Amino acid sequence: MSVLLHELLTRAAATHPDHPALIDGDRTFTYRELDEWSNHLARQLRQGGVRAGDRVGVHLDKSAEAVAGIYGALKAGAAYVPLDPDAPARRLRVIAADSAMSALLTGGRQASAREPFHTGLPDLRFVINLDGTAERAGTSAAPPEADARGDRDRLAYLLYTSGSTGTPKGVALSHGNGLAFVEWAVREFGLAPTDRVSSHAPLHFDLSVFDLFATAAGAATLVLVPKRASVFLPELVEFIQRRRLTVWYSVPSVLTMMVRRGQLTAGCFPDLRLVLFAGEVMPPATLRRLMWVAPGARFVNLYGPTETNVCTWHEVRQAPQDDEPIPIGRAVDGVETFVVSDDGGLVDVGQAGELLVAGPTVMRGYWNDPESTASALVTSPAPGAWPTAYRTGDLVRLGTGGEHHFIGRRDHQVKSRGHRIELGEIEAVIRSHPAVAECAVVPVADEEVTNRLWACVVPDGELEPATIAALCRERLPRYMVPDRLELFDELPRTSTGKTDRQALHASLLRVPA
Amino acid sequence: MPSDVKDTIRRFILDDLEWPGSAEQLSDEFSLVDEGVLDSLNLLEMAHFVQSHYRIRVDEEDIVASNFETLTAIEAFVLDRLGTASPQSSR
Repeated sequence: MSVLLHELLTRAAATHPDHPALIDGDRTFTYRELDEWSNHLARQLRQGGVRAGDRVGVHLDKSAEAVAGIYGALKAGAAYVPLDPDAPARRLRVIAADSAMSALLTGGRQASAREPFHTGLPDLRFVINLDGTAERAGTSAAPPEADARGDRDRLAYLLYTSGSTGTPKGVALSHGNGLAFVEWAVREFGLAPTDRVSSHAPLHFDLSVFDLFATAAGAATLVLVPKRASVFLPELVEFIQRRRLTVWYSVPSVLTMMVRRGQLTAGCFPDLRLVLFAGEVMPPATLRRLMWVAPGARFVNLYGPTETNVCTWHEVRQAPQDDEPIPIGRAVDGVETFVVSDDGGLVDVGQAGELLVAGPTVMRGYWNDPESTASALVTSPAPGAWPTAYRTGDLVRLGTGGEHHFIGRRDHQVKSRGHRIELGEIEAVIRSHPAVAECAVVPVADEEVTNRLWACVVPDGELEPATIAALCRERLPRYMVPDRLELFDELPRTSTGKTDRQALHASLLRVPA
Repeated sequence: MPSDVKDTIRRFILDDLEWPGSAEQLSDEFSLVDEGVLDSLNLLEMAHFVQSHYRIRVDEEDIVASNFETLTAIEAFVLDRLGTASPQSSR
């Protein structure tokens, strides 16, 4: 049966109306309640003029309100645009303007911001504060009539990621893109009403697509991980135990922090049956420890840039004996992968090249940015069912069993705490400072968070370093703000005159901590 | 006895963690985690600051909500550590 993402919720509400759909702190919502609440919000959006294909912003801390709002936007026929609740106003305004959102859902501390980011945006027709709407939704709220159904090509969500030229890019994903991954995941991992699934990733991060929609597809229970638990690791451990989570999904750095600071013991997670991780390289030592802690669970490495959803996967059946990187595995059902050399030809087994991905999970394009879309979505190297393929920019080696091994990036994109970061975007912000002559941001490997970011700046006259930090905090999300700033008289150069990033990196390692 | 732990921490949050809000918002019971002041990225910075500034020991197991969730909690933690570390402590 062909459904849209929000119909997964409607379907679960029909088959399991009184089963808990969502737990947010001490509040539990059944499938019927979440369905009716989101119907109510969808009708409000429709009454305000939201139509099929519109974009609706969601600017809320992770909460039942945010989840209901996302379903409400989809049921109204719109696409949701999840906004980082902690991003600076200036960045949110850029995203709101670029997506031309016609409505904004807010609430809690976001609704009481002293200087709202959205004043005077030409396309924004109205703002709804979701506080208290759970109570007002009442019972038997029917879904809006128009546009509730539609084809799977309809835009479902825009996820903004770091862009190398200095502004974030909106990755446009359809219902079909999300469903192709969700349907595979539910089949492969057998999600069922007995499952209690973590919602750890922020809603603007694509890991949340699994949390929200695979949970609904399995009529399982989504358990929102409170912010304080992700900050205080012993509380996170206690939370997983007390909520008896059966499925965990997060970036590896969270698991690494849990292993290092959570005081884990063998068998301390008896309910956990499935541990999924994605977004960055999993340290084998972390995995070894986790497999000892939860011997009964399946451990699966999922891979995929936001543009492709999850597109490859690798199940780890035995604890890693050495520090060989965990493979990213082979394509999920329906997806085609190609490893291509610099001349455009497919590489042989054992060789490395850029990974290209084609298939139903691959994005429609970048929102409002045909130029970036054209360079990212190229003619498939072996046109079959899918004429175009996405160039990931990731270098991989093709293994003997057809599995892929991640090697690194072709460009200046790095990961930190699972977030993907274009160093060029940070450098563009720092260079905009009048007292900066030159700047390079260099990633320095870190055991816990993958990379820490060091900004290397050549001042032009008097430069107060604190003003650089303040500028970054005003323009960039927190995970992109450099951890350290070093001043240089000049930056090292390669023979071709480019900044010698390797030499710079080596010199940073000599700086005392 | 330190002059005022809460004020020192307030200054650290504004000057070193570069939290964009104001000192007035940072009331004694302001939830540092829920309001986005402390997160998994800078909690360790805070712990290191408390450790080096007050010359007290902060172990992994001390980095819990009950010690760090508000300015009041941090002050209580610091005073407790300073108290237990000094010979005239009655605890």
